Amino acid sequence: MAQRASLLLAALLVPLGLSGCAAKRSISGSIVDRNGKPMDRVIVSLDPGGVELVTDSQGAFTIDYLRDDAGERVKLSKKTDYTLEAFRTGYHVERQDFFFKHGELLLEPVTMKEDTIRLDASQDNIDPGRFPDRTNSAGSNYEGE
Amino acid sequence: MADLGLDTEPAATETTDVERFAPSAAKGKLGSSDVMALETVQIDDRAYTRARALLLMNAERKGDEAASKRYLDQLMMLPENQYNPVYLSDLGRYYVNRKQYDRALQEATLAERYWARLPPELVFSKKAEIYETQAAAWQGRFYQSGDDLEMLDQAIRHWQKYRDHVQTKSRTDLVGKADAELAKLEDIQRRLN
Repeated sequence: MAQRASLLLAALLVPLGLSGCAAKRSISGSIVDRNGKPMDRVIVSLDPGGVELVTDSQGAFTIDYLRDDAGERVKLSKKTDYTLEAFRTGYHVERQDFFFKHGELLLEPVTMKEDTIRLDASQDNIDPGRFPDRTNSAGSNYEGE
Repeated sequence: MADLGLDTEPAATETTDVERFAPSAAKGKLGSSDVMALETVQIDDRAYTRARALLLMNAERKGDEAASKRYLDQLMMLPENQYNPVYLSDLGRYYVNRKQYDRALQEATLAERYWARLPPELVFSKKAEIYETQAAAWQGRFYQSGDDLEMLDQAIRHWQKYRDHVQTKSRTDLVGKADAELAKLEDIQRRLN
């Protein structure tokens, strides 16, 4: 009787144990711009890990593997400090440090800021009108400085 | 019958009449009555260009881009101003700030072609502005393209050209600015290659 109870208990526990071993590990998140709009085509990378992927049309990404030195896929290491980096041309690179304990981790959305190109008028106190007009000078034919 | 003045020629303004506004314009401190007085100078008046140039300088010192563009357009109405590298350079900068990079590049390229019209006192500073506008325009075009490596290469080459120019006068502040942009673009180049 006791033996049958043990077998029954084992039958119940084995699937639980197996599912525990095979628990999915992943790090997910999304990239948005300053207006909260999802950004696609952002290159997301994880360090350590050697893995790099691109966000989808919803600005989302999921990392569920790493790459070893040989470039082979390996399991996502748990209980590890990671740095996530987001890059897209025309935006400042964003980095986010976090600790991955285990299971499925959903990160806070990463906001990317545009690299604004802005030129200011010269602050040199120059009034072009103070100098002689050279309108009829050599113009485009003159190449020296 | 009252004389309505319809048949009389507009009084010509002497350049010396508008010159008294120059010190205030250089500080961006023209009052509204000064602005009004300068704006009344008509296009057929010999003082027109100088009056609009002072209004432009005043607007630029105040950071009023809309007024700057208006005065630049008014200056460009005269054929003799259309190849003035100072005004072309200012237009190029305006278009960079409006993200109209193709137009900015056109204006800056024209400004560079006619740089020899600059008085010697302005050659260094205006050429720096022209090269900076070209570099920024290429950078903007690259950003808009997303991943056009040829445009990235052009942006790097033009920032290098700007850096070489400002280095000739040991302008460490401007060299630093070029270095910051070059470092950013070279980092992007590494990532995309």
